[in-house]
Amino acid sequence: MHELNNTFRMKVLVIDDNVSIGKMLKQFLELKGHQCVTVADGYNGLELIRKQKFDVIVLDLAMPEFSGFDVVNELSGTGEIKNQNIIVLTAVAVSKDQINQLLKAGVKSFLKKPVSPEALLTTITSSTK
Amino acid sequence: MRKVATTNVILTFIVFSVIMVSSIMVYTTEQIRQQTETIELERLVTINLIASKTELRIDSIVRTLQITSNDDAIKEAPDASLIDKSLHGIPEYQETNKRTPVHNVIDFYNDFESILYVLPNGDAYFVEPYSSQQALTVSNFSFRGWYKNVINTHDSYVSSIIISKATNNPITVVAVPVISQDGSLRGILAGALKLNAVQKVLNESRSYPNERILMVDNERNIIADTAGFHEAKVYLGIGAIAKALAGERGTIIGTIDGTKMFVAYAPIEVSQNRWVIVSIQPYDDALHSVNLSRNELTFLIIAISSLFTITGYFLYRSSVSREKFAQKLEQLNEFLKRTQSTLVMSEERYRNLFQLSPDPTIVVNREGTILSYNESFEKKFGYSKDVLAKKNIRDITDKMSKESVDEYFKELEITGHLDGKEVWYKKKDGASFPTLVSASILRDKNNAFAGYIGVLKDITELYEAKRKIEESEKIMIFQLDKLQEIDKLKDEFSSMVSHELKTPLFPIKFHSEMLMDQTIKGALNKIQLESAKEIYQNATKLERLIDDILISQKLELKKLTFDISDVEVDRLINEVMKQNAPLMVEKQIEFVNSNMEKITIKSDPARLSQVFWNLIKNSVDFVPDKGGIIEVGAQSNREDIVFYVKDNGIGIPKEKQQNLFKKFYQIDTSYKRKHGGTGLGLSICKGIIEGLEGKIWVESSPGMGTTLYFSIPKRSN
Repeated sequence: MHELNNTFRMKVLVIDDNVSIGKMLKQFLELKGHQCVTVADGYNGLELIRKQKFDVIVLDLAMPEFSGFDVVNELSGTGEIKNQNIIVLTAVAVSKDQINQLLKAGVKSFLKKPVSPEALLTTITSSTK
Repeated sequence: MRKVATTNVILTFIVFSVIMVSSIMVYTTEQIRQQTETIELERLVTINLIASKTELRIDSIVRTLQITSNDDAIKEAPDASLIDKSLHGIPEYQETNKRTPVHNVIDFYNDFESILYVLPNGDAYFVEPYSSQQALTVSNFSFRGWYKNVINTHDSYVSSIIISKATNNPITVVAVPVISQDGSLRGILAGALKLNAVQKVLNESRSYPNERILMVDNERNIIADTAGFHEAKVYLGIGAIAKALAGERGTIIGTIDGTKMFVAYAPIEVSQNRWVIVSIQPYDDALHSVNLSRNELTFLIIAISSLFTITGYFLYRSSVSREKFAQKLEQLNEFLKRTQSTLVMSEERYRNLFQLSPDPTIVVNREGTILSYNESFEKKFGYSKDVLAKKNIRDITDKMSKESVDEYFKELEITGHLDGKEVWYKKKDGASFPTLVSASILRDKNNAFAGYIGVLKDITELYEAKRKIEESEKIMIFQLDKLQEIDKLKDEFSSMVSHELKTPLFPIKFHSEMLMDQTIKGALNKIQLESAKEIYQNATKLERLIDDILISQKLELKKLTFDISDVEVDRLINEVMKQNAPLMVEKQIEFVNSNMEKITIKSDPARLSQVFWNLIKNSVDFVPDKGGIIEVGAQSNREDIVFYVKDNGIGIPKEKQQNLFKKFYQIDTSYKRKHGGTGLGLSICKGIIEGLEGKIWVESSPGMGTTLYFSIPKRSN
């Protein structure tokens, strides 16, 4: 029950500690014809980023032990972030300064939960262009 | 009696001096008169002598030339044809028998510069020496005074001073006619006479101190002057020369150039001409000797009389002062007696002050040994009188202040006083207490150092107060920390709540959206689609409610931050129009922009938009289904700008207006209400506007529509 889309097939990594959300996004993206990997903590997420090549990374911020901020700082520190497409998707109320900081660090885009399927897909595809 | 006597003495002296001085004056005046006569005579004789000498000299010179003119060769007729214009006369070798005698005169008598022989018409015939002939600048001398005179008189003539064209020296010309045997004029012999001879005579004739002798010709030109030659004519201004030129001789006492002068004058007769000789001496020098003695005498008299007067005066004074002195001594005695009694009294008073002072007072010496202390001191410390005598103040100083004591004594030594120093002392019972000490130097009745007197102020209470304050401070700091902690916890709680509440909403909305899309999870039938829609809409409502609650809470705690920037009013309102247009279209409401203001203010545009959105949403619920109009605009005033949202809805009754901006207030709480707001909208608007330092209010009446106004100040921080 999935359609083939005209855009190229993307490999997406979703890092979110909420399993329900992770499953939902994976299902959605796969229904839209893309490949999706989910991981529930930042540490493992980082490892995966370094092991595999992803077109887009959808990153939640509020995660215990190793947060989305930590992931961004880690990648930014080594400069790896330049080769990655990170889209932050978070429910946490973030200040303008924090958003700017993340963008400066190398995050490509910023979305607030809840986001509509349409908005999410548009952001993901445009970030790869 | 004594006074009268001394006065008499003084008077006598004064009178005596006056008589002495006047007699001297009379005597000297007579002396001067006699002296003056003598001098006059003397000078006259002298001047006559010089005049005669000069006359004789000139005379002999004239005679010499006359003799020469009588020479046979000279008396022979000259030959005008021999004259060569270029040679200014006849050539050197011509008429030697005429030249030779003339040349001899020049050689023999040193008086002539040169001798010239002119023809009766004035033409130069020859000059001896020949060098002078060569130096001639004119060839005809008919312009000369001596020529004219001799031609007229056929007699010898001594001229006035002229400046020799050959040598530029002043000369006088002695001219004699050359007469032939038959009495006709052959020519004129003119000798240029050097004047240094005359000058020499004058110089040798000076005989008085500062005397000046001068000789002038009939035109007042200087012939010779002991004061030095100058070309200007001489005008003494006393008539001496005028008289002499008139042939008179004599003496004058007159003022020349401001100085009194003794002048003697006499005429000098030279052929057909008259010169003048004058002797000038400063009057004071002339009568120098007489003046001297007169001055000396006068000075002596004045000195003696002054001496007498002064002595007399001092005698007088001493007599007076002796009396005065006796008087003064009496007065002093009285004064001393009085002062003594005052001293005795003040000593007693001091002793009382010391004792009765409410502040503990103590007297110590330089080493700190206690000399005395007052009652207050006894009471405070618990030591009775004299118990502490001979002890040192350090013995009653608490160990806390022990080190400072030496410093304080040093300071007292240097400056002489101590101001408000904190010192801890020990009472007899061992209790120590803090004091403020002020000390100064105590002096005895001879103003000598008698010790240091110190006053102690017990500051125990002050210390207590200080301690209490410090304690309260500590408590306050502690409470403040606690409050801050609670605050932080509150923040953490809200973020957590916000996050936790919102998290489930995401999947609820997302799944319902995926279902509604129908291309993702497949098509739905009508009732399935309906359910999906309901889920989505309610989730959205819940989301809004959560947001509103969070904002309200932030506003409550005054924690909502604003992003202040420049807001172009017209742009803001255009944005508002754009944002809310879809809703207007959906509800078929006429949406009007009445804004004309183009100003820029400083505020938070996002929050302002939010307020607009809330107010518009409210109006949407109140306008009629058909023909509803919502108007948006702004009005700029001096101090602020007022925005408004106006609708033609049902209006709000007065009694409901006062609670309009309260939390969860809803105008229509009936079961059937179609308005599904959270009830927080207006309170949030109020919180935002008041946070932006503005005001929000409503104007409405049932059936007349509602206008909601909010103002933003133009000068916000």
